[in-house]
Amino acid sequence: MATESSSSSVSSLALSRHLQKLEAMSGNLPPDIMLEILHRLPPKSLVRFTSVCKSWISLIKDHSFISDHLNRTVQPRNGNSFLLLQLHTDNYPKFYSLHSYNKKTNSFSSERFSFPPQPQLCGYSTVVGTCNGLVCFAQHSIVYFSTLIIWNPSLRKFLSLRRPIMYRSNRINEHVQYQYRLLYGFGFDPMNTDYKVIRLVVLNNEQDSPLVEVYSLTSCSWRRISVRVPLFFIPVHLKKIPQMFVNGALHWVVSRRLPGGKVQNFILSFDVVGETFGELMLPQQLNESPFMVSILEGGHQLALVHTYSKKNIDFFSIWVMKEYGIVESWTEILRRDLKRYGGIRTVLALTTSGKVMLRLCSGAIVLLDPMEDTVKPLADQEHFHAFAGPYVESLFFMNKKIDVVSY
Amino acid sequence: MSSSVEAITVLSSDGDEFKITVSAAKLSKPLNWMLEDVCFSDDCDEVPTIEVNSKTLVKVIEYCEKHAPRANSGASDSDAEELKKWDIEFMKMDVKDILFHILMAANYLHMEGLYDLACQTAADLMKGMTVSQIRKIFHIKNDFSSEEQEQLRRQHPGCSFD
Repeated sequence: MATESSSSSVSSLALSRHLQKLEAMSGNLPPDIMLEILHRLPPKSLVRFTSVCKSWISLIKDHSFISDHLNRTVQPRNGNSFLLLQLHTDNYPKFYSLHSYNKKTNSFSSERFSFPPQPQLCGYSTVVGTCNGLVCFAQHSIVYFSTLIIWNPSLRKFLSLRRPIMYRSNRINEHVQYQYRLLYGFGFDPMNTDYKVIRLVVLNNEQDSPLVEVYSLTSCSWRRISVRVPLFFIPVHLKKIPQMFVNGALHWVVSRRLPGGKVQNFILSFDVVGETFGELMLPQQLNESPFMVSILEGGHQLALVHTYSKKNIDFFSIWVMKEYGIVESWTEILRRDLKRYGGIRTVLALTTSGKVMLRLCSGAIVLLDPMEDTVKPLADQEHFHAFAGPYVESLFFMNKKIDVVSY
Repeated sequence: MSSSVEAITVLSSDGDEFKITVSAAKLSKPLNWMLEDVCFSDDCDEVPTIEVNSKTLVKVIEYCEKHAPRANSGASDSDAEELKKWDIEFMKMDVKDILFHILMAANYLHMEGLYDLACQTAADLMKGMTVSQIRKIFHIKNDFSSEEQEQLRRQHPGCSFD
């Protein structure tokens, strides 16, 4: 009984402290109203406002505040149609946040992010993926270990990941004598409020199951997982396999050889919470296409871009899986001749409002409105590579001190 | 309540009388409850008091009357667009003087739309404010020591804390 009464007095003390804190926080407004307003502020302002007073800093750094803030930001009804655009110029990547501030005209405003001062990362580093405001990128180099970074552009903070378990001069040497390819993914685990990087060592012999390791941002470490992975291979000509994080899972388009030698394309998926692999069928027309089929990021639904030739004319077409997991729901939403608009080089992303971001042969990045069949320029610089993916502003990394670098 | 009643009279916390149409009053849950209450039956002369000052109540009623047709019947996209523009104009007001009162009134009167609009307006205004401006409008005391402030600056080198 004694313990019970002491625990209840402790909790009532904690409650009264909590209330006092809330009162100090809100000044002349009731605390619940103040909280509602703070939830609507962008991360940049919130970081600044940590210096208002002690109760504000403890509130803004609170885990539940950070999660609530994110949940609110990613809700489609809030109209946050952000894209992160990466351009490689002068051998150095430049990052922009593009956000549609006007849903009706879908014009974009852009904001330049300064890149982390990380010498290893210039050059050919590419974005693995973006997820809930964090960006993961890797320097895919010819040496066997690539530097991986998780970055919050809004907060100007980044973390260099520890070395993976399996790399050339270590364990991988024991297991693998063959050539291999690396496949990366970056996603969010809402059950544990954790971000995960998944790294697959895919052996080119097409016989052994890929080796899999997962990095958790909470534990700041890699761990090997033993899990069944469908056999697949990555076509040699592909440098990077785009990913998409949707429905709690990561997705990549990969290929496998069927008995008889035919090649079949399919979507490999990885459930970020359960850490299991699965597969999804492509639309029938794309199943055995010898042309490029790839994930297309940016929208709310799983989407594909197919670049192919028919009667000597090159096309791209975009497919969307209207109902997740239902193969019959794949729908072709757009098809264009690649010679249009002065020549299209790459299809970069879909926007949540159904527009398509293209990189033209001239180097310009444009936004295609499929309904009106018009293109509007977004960026017009000389660059040799571009990436676009979904982006929101988030407060993650606000709390983490160990290993996270501010600049 | 008699269905012939089209407008009701309420008192502000300052004791002033205001008229609000029944359809506009329906935007607020508590007002809606009052409508169903005996207060507005034909044989009752008691005027209910709303704990909102006159200056704020004028604005709240203005909002209700503007939004009532759409809330009650649904509206076309062009009306929705027009209403959005009206909301922006409507929200051009002083933060401390009236916006905070609107926030509290919308909260008290359970008016989701107005509460949402006022919170977003407050957030948009705060976005561009300096830390000292924030302290001033909310009457918050700076309880950091200069060492603690210096530490914050070091943690966020790209940030202005003034």
